[in-house]
Amino acid sequence: MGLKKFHEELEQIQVDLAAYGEYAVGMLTDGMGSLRGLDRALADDVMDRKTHLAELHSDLEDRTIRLLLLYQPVAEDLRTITCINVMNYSYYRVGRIGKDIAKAVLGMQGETYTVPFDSLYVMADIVYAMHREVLAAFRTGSAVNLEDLGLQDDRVDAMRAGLFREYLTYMLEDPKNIRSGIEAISITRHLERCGDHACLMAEKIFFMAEGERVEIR
Amino acid sequence: MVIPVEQTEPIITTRGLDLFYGETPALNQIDIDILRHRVTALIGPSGCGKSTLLRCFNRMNDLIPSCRVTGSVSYRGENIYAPDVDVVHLRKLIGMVFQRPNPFPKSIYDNVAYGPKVHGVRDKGALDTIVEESLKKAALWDEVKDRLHTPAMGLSGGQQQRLCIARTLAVGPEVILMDEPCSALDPIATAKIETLIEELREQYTVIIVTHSMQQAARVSDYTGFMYLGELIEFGKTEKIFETPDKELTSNYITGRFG
Repeated sequence: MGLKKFHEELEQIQVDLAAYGEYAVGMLTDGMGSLRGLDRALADDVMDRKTHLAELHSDLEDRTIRLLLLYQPVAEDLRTITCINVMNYSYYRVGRIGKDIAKAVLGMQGETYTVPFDSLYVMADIVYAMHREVLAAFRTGSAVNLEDLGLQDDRVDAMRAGLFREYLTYMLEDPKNIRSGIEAISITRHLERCGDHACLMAEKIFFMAEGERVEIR
Repeated sequence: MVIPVEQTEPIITTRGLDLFYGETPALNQIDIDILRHRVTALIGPSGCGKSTLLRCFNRMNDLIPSCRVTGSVSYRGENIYAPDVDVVHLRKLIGMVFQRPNPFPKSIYDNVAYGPKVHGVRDKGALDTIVEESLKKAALWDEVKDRLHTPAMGLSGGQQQRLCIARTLAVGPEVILMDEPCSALDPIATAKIETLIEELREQYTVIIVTHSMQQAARVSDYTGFMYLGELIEFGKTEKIFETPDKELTSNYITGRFG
């Protein structure tokens, strides 16, 4: 056995990255959850998680850099580390987006009237499903169904365009809707970014598993 | 200047090459094409036959009495194992640098001038030019130009190895074989040799055997992975180190065995 220690650490980083992914996507789902009824306690809780998110991110980054430095990995090991590195950044962004949504919820505290957010939850459900597929693929080291993921991403993009019009009409109807309308539009943008991150990660997982560089669409 | 792939052609080709030490097979059906003006690395665990293969390219294995070769090794289309081949001339065209620097116990100048003298260069001016050019090509000139007539053994290990490269270049080879040229050197000296290899490929074809996978990845254009006397996989270096086709290659380079 040549590099037992290296492979043990690489496997541990994979396990920890998957846990990190759960944590980050959890911030997104809870951030969206806090939107329902403008739940202040939950939004505060999500805000509080941002420090830990950053700590986990730096820890994973330090450890992957250390592996590169000490072992100069090649082939599937290098592809795995490349993938982990990209996913580490993507999950950090996803977690931060959860925090941003929670922040928007805190900003809307005391608003007596808001636009309906129901369509946002529908959009978010597609994004969660995309992230579940990505994480499951990473855990098993197998490629994601890219075509399927691409279609889901198309739906997310289409919803963003549609929801922009929807919220615009609410705002035109009554200027009191402007505050929450703008927040809703920015959340569509956030969710779309989260969908993009799922696609990016899927591409890297494909590279890790199959050794081939692909792009969704 | 990097010569585009399409302008290169195989300079050394082996087909069905088998080699035995006595009854023990050391190489098994090797088919390889070494491209001109490219650096080719041979990697593999100890005893896999990579040095043996390297030594076939300029018939260094002839020096081992029990060694028997079948199949073909051609250089510029000519079979180098044909009976009428002048081995001394062959080794002038296909030079070699070894694992440990092995300068002659002579001056720096004489080390480099030795080969050309053997091949008949007598003119002092011509020899001076060859020595200077060779030392420059080996990136050693600036360090030794003021002490050319001092003993070569006084140089550091890294300098000695570059001197050995200069000595090889002095007889005007086309191909340079390197058998783990950096394994006895510190990282700085290693980096100098690697930079030199990069420069040499503009004028020469380099084949290097190395135990350091990272070195193979850094310096070579093509890499061959050998195992138990067979050439398991051969291809572009990026491909071998990023997405090798064979599981055996992958397992070896990622340190899962060996």
